[in-house]
Amino acid sequence: MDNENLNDKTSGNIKKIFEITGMHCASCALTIEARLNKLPGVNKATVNFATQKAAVECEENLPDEKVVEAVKASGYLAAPAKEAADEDFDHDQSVREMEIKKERDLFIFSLALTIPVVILSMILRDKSNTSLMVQSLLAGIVQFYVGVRFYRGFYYAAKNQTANMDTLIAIGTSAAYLYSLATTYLMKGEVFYETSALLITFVILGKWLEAKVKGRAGEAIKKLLGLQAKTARVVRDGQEIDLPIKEVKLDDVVIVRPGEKIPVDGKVVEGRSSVDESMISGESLPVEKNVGDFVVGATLNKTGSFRFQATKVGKDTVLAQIIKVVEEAQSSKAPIQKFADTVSGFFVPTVVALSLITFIIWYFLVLSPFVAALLAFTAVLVIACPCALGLATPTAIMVGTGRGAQEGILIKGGEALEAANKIRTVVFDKTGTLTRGKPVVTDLTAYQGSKTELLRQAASIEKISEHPLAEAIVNSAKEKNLELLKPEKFEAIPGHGVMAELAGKQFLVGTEKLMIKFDLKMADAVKADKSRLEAEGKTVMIVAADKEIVGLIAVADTLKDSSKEAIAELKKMGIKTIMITGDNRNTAQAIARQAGIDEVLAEVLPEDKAKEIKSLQLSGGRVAMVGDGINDAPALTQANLGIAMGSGTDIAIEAGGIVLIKNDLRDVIRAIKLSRATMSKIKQNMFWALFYNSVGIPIAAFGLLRAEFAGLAMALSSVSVVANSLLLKRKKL
Amino acid sequence: MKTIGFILIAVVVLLYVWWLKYTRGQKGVSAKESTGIQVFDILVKGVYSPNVIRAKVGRPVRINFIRKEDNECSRFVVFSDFKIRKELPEGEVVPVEFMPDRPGEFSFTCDMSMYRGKLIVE
Repeated sequence: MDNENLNDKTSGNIKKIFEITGMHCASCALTIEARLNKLPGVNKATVNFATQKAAVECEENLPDEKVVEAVKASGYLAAPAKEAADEDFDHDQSVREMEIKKERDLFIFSLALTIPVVILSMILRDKSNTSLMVQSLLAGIVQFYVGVRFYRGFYYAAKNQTANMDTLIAIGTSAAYLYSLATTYLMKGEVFYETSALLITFVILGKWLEAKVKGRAGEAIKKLLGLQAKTARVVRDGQEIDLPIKEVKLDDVVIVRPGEKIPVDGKVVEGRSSVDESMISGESLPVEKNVGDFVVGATLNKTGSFRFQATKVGKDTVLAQIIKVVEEAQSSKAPIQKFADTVSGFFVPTVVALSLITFIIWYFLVLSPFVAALLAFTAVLVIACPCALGLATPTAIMVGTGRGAQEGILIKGGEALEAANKIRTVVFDKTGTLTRGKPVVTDLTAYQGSKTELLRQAASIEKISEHPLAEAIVNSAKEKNLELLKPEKFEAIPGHGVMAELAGKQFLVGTEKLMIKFDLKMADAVKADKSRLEAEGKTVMIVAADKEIVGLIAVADTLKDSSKEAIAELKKMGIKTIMITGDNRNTAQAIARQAGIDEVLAEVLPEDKAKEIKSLQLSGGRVAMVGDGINDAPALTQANLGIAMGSGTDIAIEAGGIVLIKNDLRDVIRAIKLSRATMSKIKQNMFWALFYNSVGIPIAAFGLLRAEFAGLAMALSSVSVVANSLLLKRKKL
Repeated sequence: MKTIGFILIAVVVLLYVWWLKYTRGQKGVSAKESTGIQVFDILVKGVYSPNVIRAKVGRPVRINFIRKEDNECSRFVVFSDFKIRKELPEGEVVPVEFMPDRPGEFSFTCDMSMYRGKLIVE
């Protein structure tokens, strides 16, 4: 841990954090605090019992050891804290890897001891005294060294008057081992050391495999955390200093150099660059950033250097919010899991009761030999696997939501998954969702001169205007690199258009009303062109020079490239598509036709969108609403499933059950497909777990399965559930 | 022999029923501090200990989990009703804080629902 990074150098003193162990009450904290405050060089020390941490403000040259010693002197242990989340995560990762390795080594060790037992008992069938003694010794090591965890678990559970999986395994294997031990040394009878030894080996194998695959299920958060920058170069008191990103404050000015990650969210105040935002928005091309533009933490600065002012730090950044959504989603359970939870609550005691009844029936009622009864008893204990039941939903949700997050689809939890699975109708907001939300010039009709000249003239005049349609014209001219002229005598006529002088000519740009106002006659050909364009849902502006109409410019909000494909795909999936908009019917119909939408709800006031959704729900079942998350919040909430579309940096995380980070409508389909796939995994898992237990227990009770294979089946059943969930990672969306 | 068998089965069934009643009737441990935040300490070792806790509605709850084992199963604690999933690194005290805003019984479990606890909010 680089302690330098933790130090807050603002006041000449530094602040250090220590982790304290051994505190068991709030008064311990006070004891340590008093002790530390007496330490020379310490200005102020506070000890928090809940977090088990001490914050020490001290002189810079005070060595950590002094603090550690002082804490030790008051009877506790201290160590300099590790702080940054990602380093915790690295640490965590290595802990996990060590755990997996530990399980593997234990399995190999256990297997090495079990193989001779199996050879002696099952292959050579050596029943000599030496053979039995060797078997008892090897199986004993497996039983009490490898299997000590089961006894430990059994003990703690019993102390708390409950029972768990360890109870089952400890009782089952002990019964088999102890009986064999008794027949070896004390009385006559069969031995079956291989049963207990194999059983424990198999269960450990299961634990190893499970640890391995479970680690993979939770990878999404790790990847998201990995996106974060670790430090930020901040200007404080005129000096550039490197700080851990946790310490960046609001309004700090942050410097970013080429090739560096942007640490937090903010607004560019100096310099320019292009930024790779693909990790957040999915946009593959770098985005140009100039003064005034917003930048997002975790994105990658490519070419230039710039300074920006932090506008969102800590838990408010876009990335932090994404991580929060994923974390919350992974903690949620699908409603279907409630049932499994209820079942597993009764599971262990029920299985213990069933195994006892099995033994009693075999021994006392069927009058079979003691050994047979004991083996059936053991088999019932060890085949029962509530783990598979418990793993069924969480692993599928974890993998499903994690997979989504990597693709820019944030699914907020089990309920959204279940809702997405049952959707029959998808309602799209028009502006900004199906369309780009920005009008662009679509058609130029010139009656005199060239189209380019027409655009240049109109743009030169509209440059001064602030109307959104004017902006479309100016942008179009800019795209074509047209050089604009300077108009004179500019005058805006509100609701009609503009009037100006350009190169000595009197120009008018605006609506039909403007032309009438200035007594201009429209030729039939012009009228025909205009109505044709309007029928296509476009807004037409007329350009006149010196009392003569010289051309038409049509402006429209155009469909996003992804819209048509997305709608077609939804139809293929048997989902009805509806568009909802405040626009007039003509414009709405035109866009709907282009997109291939089934039904149009036009002229709907923004506040009535939720009502429309409600009436759709009453008539046609489950409805998903796709909107931009900011204006459409009530409708998104009303719908069975709200899908909020972000536009890269501006994500309305709160709205909707599913948030699409990229501005790509095809993600609606991916989201629905992913939800369906996840739900079907959950159902498969639940079915498998229930089926396994309800079939496995009777098979074991009837004595049809050797106990060690019952153990193997148990170990593999939970592994198979996790492995099945992991298949979601490969699912094509 | 058969009579003994039937008697034993009856005993097992009775014990099972008794256990069902016992777990239903568990009162649960009350909070340490009653002013302000309601604080509970739960040891994670084989089980959650205590595994039934009782809190008052509308006042924040802080449950300090300390996991003293390296069993992979108990690495996370999940309060699915409150959308909380927290990692419990071995040996560290991890406080879980939330506001129980409605009365009822809420379970908290490990990822696999093998470790189980119950929060009774009244």
